[in-house]
Amino acid sequence: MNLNHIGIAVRSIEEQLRLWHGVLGLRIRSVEDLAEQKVRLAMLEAGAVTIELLEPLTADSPIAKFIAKRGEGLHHLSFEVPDINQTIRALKNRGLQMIDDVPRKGAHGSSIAFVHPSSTGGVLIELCQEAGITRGGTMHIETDVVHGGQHPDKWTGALAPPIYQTSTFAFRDADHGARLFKGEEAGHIYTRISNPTIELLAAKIALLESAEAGLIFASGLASIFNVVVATVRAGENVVSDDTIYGGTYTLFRNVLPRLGIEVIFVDATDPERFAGAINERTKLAFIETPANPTLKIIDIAARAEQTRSRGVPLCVDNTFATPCLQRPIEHGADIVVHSATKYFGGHGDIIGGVAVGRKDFIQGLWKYAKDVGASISPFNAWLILRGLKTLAVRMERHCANARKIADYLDRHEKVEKVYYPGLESHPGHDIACHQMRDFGGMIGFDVKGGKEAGKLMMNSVKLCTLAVSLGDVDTLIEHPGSMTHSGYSEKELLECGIKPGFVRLSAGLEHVDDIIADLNQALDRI
Amino acid sequence: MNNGVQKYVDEARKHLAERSRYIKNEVRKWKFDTIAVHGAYSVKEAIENNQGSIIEPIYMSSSQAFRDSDEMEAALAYLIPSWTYSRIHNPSIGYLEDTLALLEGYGFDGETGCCATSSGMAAIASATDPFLVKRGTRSDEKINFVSNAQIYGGTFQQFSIRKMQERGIECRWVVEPDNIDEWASRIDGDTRFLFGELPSNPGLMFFDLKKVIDLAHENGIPAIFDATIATPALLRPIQLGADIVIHSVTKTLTASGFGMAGAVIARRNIVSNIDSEPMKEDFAAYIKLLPNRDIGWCLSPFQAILTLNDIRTLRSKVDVLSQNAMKVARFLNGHAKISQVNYLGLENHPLYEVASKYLWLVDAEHDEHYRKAVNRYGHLMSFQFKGGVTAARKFFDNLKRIWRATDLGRIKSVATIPAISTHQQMGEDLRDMANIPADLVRLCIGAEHPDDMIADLEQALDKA
Repeated sequence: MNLNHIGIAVRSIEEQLRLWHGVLGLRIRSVEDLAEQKVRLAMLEAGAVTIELLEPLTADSPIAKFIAKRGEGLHHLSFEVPDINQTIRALKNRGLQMIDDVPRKGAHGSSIAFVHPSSTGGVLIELCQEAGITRGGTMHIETDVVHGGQHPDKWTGALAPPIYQTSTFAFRDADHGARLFKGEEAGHIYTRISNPTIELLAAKIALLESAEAGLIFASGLASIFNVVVATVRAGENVVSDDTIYGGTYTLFRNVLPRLGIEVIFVDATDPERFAGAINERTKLAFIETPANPTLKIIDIAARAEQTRSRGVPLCVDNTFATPCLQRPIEHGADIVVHSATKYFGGHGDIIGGVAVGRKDFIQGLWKYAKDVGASISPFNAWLILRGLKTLAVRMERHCANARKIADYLDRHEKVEKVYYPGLESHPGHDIACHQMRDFGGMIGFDVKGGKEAGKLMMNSVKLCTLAVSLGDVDTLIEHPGSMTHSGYSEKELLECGIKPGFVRLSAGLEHVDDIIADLNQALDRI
Repeated sequence: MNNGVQKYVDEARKHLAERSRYIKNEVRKWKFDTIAVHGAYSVKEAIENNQGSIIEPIYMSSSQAFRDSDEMEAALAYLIPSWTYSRIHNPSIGYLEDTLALLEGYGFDGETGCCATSSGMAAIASATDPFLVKRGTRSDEKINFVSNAQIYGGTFQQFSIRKMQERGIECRWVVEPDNIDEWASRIDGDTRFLFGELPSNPGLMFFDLKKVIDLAHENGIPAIFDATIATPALLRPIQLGADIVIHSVTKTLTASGFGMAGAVIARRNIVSNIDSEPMKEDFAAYIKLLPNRDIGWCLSPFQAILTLNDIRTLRSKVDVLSQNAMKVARFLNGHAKISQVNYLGLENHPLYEVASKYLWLVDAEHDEHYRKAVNRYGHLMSFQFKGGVTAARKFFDNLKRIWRATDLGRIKSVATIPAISTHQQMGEDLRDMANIPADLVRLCIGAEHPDDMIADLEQALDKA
């Protein structure tokens, strides 16, 4: 339970605001009358907690009686609960006496119920369920992608969140600005540091990933870069799986060493070699599963157990699976990163990245990231918020189409091998069945005849688009060896199982028969 | 009204009173530039309602959620300022409307209101249709209105086809609008309003609008002006007594070219022979909350903020664009292959004097570059060729940097041939009446260096 507010009984709100707002400088969020409760409420913001001043509207108001008996002062503590009825039941079961067995109406459409102070050591405790409060990840993910973390705008009631396309935020006064800079008060200063639209997106993705908090970046690579450099210092190292997105590989291979950070590549499906790669200077372990582009599956829970025993945080790039199919933190991972450009945005119109994890980690990451400056545009953040609403339905179709395409390719005589975790022949199939709800929308395959045949096939598609990126509504096809993974040498490609004729396909949302027909005519050309 | 609804109404009254105090005591005392930059979006509003955001947020939401049924009842009955649904209103659209109403009402003592629409054409329809309704029960009731003939082709189409041909509403054209007697001769007891576009597109027609306003009011009808080409930086008809001003906000007001918008700006208590007090009292609010709600030509909130950002620099932009256009017009005016240049700033233009009476750069007397009133004539011009239509098309096809497009009001220079584009739908006879010959090229000069535009024109003229 989170402390939501502290209630203070006062004779006159107007008088008391001179102290709380005028002298102490707390921001007034609202003043409202609750005629039913015979009380006027003023809400003041004090960091994460609210101070609620209660003024009796009539002489027979409970607050008037309280003041008559005990004078002005502390009235109650209010705790936020996700489901007030459930909490009332639970407390009654534990023998606590309730003043309200049935919730009543509180400020801003919330529901409240009081616990009798005789049960709680003389302190009056209020339970409060806010109207339209975040689902707290308790709903199905199909519901959470729609509602999670979002509630109507406080002032205008707008159902969809506003786009705060602003660089700067105004201060009430100099002290307010100073308090924001010191972090003594929650609020916004400058969009590189924080922005309401971007913050909303971070909270939503954290909720979807079962994480405590999140941070949004200009791109997926920016999120990985920031996670690494905020965690690992010069002279220390990262242990990474060898099969990762080519951009990440180039970052690890070429950029991090220049900052004095070594990256040790290892096949993370091999427990012994993985454990052997970790040494006393290892500060981060990094895996991507399913991995780009080979769809290699790594057992997150098993690797997390190993890293935890060595005190090393495990970061998982969950771009291919999305939280609809796999939530690495539930399997023991510490940090999850995403390229939001892919399935989250879903429409191929934005670039964005995400990192989620524990509150203290994200707080530290934020302190680092705000100085690095890889901030996302609020408009991009808003488009990702919009994309997320349909993530669950899109993933269902991506997975269904990919499975049918994989089955088709698997039977085709000109295809040597298909890499799709949903196929029983895939070496990671069993782990995927356990770890993932479905097998995703990405497929790899080797065309018989190697690189030339693969090229001919890609040049012959008509409906599918020859392009990098993935997770779009359009089916995209590409050649990792010469495109996304061109940062790998030929030898390294082979070591990771990426053969010269390897083709990667991101199944889109078109009718699957049309996609297969297109692949069929292209394969006929070979 | 129950107590709950009353509570919301009381709250709204307090909020509205505070807001109008702010506008009266602060905003309306500012210069034009300050209003263009801030509108009615106060520091207090930013901090209390919008997390301190110094830029007005884009409320990209179709609907508003209500706290309870009382608030919903109050909102839907229009008892409190609310927005409900973005077809009716939206907070971001409100920011744009506030700014446009204030700019168009700059220098005017009374209050103005604004209703934004999805396009300039929607603005024209929503500003004129409320007057074109039957007043009595007679089935043979005649309705007419009077307009100058030299208007944008789209407006011409709306008047002559949609209103006249399809609905039997007579549009009476004034061919020489600077002759007030011609306007007067068109008016009778069934006339509902006088409509004028000035400066006109593409012929740069101008007329003495004060006389037209007075004539309208003598006849108990409103004077409505399309002032798109001038923008409030050069002309504010409401200050001169006009009732309603229309803009294709798509043009110079959104000079960046980032999309479509329209606006209707009206003074309080307009003159009309239609018996509807709410309509006359606050025309902008009336069309917004009633007919436009029912018809649905609403603006996108995203567009509203894009446009708002453009408007912040309106005055200085219009000044630069006008100076560039003047330089280009002077060049064309002396060119051997050009037979005639229509630009109101040229001293040899027949309407130079009347245009100079009305087209002033707002606040030039407060601008340290000028310190006195300064005429500016906008960035639109048109011209004809000695070599006729063949020369005009050859010239047009050889433009390199100047865009060939049916557009104007841009930060980028754009040219078109109206007879085959913007005014094509009128047909040749009506183009003759509106004075749009086949070899007329319309040119709207942007913010490029004028020497570069002159060089482009010169090389294209060489080939014509």
